[in-house]
Amino acid sequence: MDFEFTSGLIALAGIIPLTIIYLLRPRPKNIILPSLMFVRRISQNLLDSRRTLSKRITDPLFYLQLLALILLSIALAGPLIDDFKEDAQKVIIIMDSSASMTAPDRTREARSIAIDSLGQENTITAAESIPVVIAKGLDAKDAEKIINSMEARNTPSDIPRAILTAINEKENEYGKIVVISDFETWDGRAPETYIRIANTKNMELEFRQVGNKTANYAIVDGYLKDSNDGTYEYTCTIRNFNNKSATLDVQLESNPDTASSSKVRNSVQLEEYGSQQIKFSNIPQGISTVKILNEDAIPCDNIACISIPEVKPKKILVLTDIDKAASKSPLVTAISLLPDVGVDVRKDLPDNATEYDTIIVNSKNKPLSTNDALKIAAYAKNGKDLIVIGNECLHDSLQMHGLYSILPVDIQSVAKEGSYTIETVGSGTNIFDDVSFGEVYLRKLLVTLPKEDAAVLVDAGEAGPLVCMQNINEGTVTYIGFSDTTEADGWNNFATTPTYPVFWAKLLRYMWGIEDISETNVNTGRYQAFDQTLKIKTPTESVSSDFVYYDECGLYELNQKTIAVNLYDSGESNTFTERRLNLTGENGAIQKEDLRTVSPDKPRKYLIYALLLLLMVESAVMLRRRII
Amino acid sequence: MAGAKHTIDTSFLTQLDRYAIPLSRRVTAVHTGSHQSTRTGAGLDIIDHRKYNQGDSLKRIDWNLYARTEKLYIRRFEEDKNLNMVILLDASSSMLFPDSTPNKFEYAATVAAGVSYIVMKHNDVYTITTFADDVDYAKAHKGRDDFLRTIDALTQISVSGSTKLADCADSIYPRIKSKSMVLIISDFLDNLDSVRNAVNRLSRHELILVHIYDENEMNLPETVDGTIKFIDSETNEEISFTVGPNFKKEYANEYAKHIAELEKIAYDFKIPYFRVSIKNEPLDTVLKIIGEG
Repeated sequence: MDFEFTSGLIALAGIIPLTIIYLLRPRPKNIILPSLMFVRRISQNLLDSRRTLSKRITDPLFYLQLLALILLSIALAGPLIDDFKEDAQKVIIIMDSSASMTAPDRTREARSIAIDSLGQENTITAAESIPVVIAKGLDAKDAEKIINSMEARNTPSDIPRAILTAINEKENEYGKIVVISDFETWDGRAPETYIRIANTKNMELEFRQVGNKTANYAIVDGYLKDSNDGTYEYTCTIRNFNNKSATLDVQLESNPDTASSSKVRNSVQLEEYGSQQIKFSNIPQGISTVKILNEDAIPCDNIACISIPEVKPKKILVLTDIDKAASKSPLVTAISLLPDVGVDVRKDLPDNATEYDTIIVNSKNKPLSTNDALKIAAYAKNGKDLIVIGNECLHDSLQMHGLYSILPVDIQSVAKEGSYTIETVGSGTNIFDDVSFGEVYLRKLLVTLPKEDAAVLVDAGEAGPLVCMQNINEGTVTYIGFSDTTEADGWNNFATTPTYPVFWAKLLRYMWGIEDISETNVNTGRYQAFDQTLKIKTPTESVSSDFVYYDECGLYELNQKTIAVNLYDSGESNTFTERRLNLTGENGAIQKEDLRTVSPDKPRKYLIYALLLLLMVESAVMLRRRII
Repeated sequence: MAGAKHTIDTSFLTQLDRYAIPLSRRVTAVHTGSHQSTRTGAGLDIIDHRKYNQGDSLKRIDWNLYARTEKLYIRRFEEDKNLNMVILLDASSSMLFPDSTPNKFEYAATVAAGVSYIVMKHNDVYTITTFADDVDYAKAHKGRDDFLRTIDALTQISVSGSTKLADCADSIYPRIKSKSMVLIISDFLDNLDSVRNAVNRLSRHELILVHIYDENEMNLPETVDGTIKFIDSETNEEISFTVGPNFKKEYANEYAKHIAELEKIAYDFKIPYFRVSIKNEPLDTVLKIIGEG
């Protein structure tokens, strides 16, 4: 357990001997005297008030105990004593690592200031879109190494947030926070406000500005619009951060390194501080980049990446025992609505089963043949997608048991009729946020248990998973616990609810890895966490992690997706500014003000030392009197 | 002695054989005795002569001296007196202090036995009377057998109650018919007025005050420190005090004041006052009392 003031525990322990004294002291020593006439005379002498007081304070133990309690009370009250701090021993360096710091010399200058500011104990924080604490409690030598290895990233910065994080860190008390930045963007209260906040928390806050104004051209905004013909339209804004007009060469390149690669080049004339919007049509599926070919201060805002997920036509085979006349089951209807999807409904596995991207097994009464079941299992093991609907037949028929080895769940039993609550769990909450499971009445289902590596997306409490997935090689096997029959004795009414097709659309897009366009085109500074560790390929390296922090412009590959990451921040791109930090006049004086601290800790410490000394003296007196 | 409550040291008594008690004041008794009196009278031994004055009895003229000097001188004889010794022994609870042996009572009884022994050896009469709340007046004793019985009685006596000297004096006054030597052995832890009244009452006798004390009641020992509950051995009254050096000093001062008052009473009545610690040898104390120490 942590304590704000550990010495207080010693003070508390000091109460123990005091308690012992008071437990022992109420038993006075009995002394028999031949006569009390002399004692009585002394008592009579003490009747006047002056002598009464002296009677009470004749015992040195009284003085000692009174003083001990006074010291204890004062220590608890914690008197605040003014203290002018000398140079802080504890230094917290907040170094701006945003995109604007990639302008020439800014990071080098920041490193130099940071090294000059180091104290005995140093904490290094990189201020990106989120504060990233790189190291804590380093001595000056180690801190210098860390600072020298720091590079600016391609994210926006949130300096105020980094400052508040440092201020709110209790262990930074009595430290000096040095903020080194170009202060190109400042999204918070006035800087002097943070100085005052820091001072009230016994910290010193110093702002150090780096960087001179530098001309820069940037793509500051960009968005995609679906043209509904399989291509997109890309619109971006190009700005000139300079007091001189400029002619910029802009090039669009689609699917580089492929046979379908194409390039479009354009010249853009920009006035001083001017901007222009450019549209590029027919952006195909895949990766495209828009580049400003002119050189400038910040490279990362000269390029905008576009990632449009490739959607290939899919073929789905539905194996079901339902009569052909009734083949338009809710399931088939729902998946037939999906664009670029061809659906075949069969009773038995055809020979060309491997041509299908996904097989859905929906045998309700008549099971698949043992041979078919084993073939489907082999099909799934070879990396194809398989969906198995949990009907009674899956539990009862031995032939169907051939599928059990590849199912993400263990089938336990057929649950008795009842009312089950459906809940989305894990990733399922996001995937199925448009599906109204609340409207679904679940009367009957198969009781299942998820296998070790399976991901449960929807479950029915104790009855087990309703939607559960497991990756086998490159494919995915999904178990669906919702029987799709709409008969009177159907197991549920899910197929009759309006969001049933949405469920299938969402499920299949998720299985096939088809993402929303906004999911594949993001801005830098975004943080994303995952349920499990993924292999992530950033523009510069490959890592395994359960989160990704998009701090570089370029293409990230994860989860079989390519994500385009761009800066799109005019604040960060605008490096043609001066005197960005407004700390002049009165505000400048605030910064130079000595850090005047009031703290109870120091007096407390000495009070408790004095208390312990008193307790020792008191114990000695009691030992001499043989009280203890 | 079987069943003895108190221990009385009698080992020193034989050392007292060669001592006698001088009678310095008017002591008369119905018994004859062999004590020398400082008063001249009708004894057998001539102590000196003086010139004849008109009115002197002619029988007392020393004619032999007249024959040698032709002057008339009167023979003066030492008056032989017998001794009536009354010992008033304090038997109040305070005399049981301290807890160790001898306590004040045992010491006082030992001294009383020593004085009685001398009196007994000269065939004189002695009485040992104990007092506390009441007076336990004993009849006069004479002879060895009585002495032994007296000692035995002292070992058995019940010591309790509080010191009431004035009441004791009032009570005993009518019982001492003749002028006697009265020895009061006590710790005198009584009201000073009571002591003064008692001395005044008995002042027609040859009175001696023997003050018995223990060092620890005069100066409180080191161990008495801190919160103390004082208990009166006579009344069981309790007073709690926080005792420190100042308290002890004040206590010693009060005791010294009491002693000074006792000395003043003795001085006022011109009677001997002996202050004796129980640490002293009883023999020395007895010799001191009889004027030989």
